[in-house]
Amino acid sequence: MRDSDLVGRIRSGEIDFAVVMDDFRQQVRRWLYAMVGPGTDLEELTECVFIRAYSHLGQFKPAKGSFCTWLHTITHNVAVSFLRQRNHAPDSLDAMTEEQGPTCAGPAELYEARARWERLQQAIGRLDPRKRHAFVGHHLRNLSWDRVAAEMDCCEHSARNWAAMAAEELREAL
Amino acid sequence: MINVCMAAPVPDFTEEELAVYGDFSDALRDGKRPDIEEYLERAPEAGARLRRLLETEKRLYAELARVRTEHPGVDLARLLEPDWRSQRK
Repeated sequence: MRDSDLVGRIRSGEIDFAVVMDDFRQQVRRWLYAMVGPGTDLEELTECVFIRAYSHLGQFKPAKGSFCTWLHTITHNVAVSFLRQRNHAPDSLDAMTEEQGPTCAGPAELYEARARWERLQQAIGRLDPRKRHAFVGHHLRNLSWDRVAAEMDCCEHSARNWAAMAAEELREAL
Repeated sequence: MINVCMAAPVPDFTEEELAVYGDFSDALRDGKRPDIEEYLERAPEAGARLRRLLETEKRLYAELARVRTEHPGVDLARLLEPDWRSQRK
């Protein structure tokens, strides 16, 4: 698959970004290790790279180089940013304040939020159709319970029960 | 076609739990900020399960609100249940 196709399919949701990144995880860690050396939380920096890559996918230009090269550029930038901060901060990541650390709190939250939404969508897709309809009807179509019940040919009590059971099942995805 | 006909309520949550849950969900859907403790007082016999359900409901609405903000104009109902109409035919 060409890189442009790969990125296009990630952006359209056909391919899971996290799965693709798993293929690059070891490579990114090696690049990071070569730049920042031992004693650093490479996993945290790796996540920073993936978050930045995900949020900048639209800027990938196949004409300028391969996806791997583009990812390496991002890795390099993350490492440089980290090294700059380390030069002005204590040695250990644990000793850094949140503002100083390379954890990209904003993007990290964005990444987690998107992952959560993906999990939630998948969990809703797996619901029994009656639970899904009660949930979608009330929570997303803003139907009253009696309208949901009417659509499902059941009583209001049952409509609430299906929605409540849906919520129970969706809790794990949150 | 989905069999959605229910001769009797599914014997899972109690009548009392579902009454509280339904009202709590209505309040969230209407953009209010219902207090879980206040709603739990309406069902003193209910246990931890109702508390967990209300907490989950609150998080679900928060997540849906976030997604709506992030993707304005997207019909989430159609996205999440695209085949409901066809299944009903």
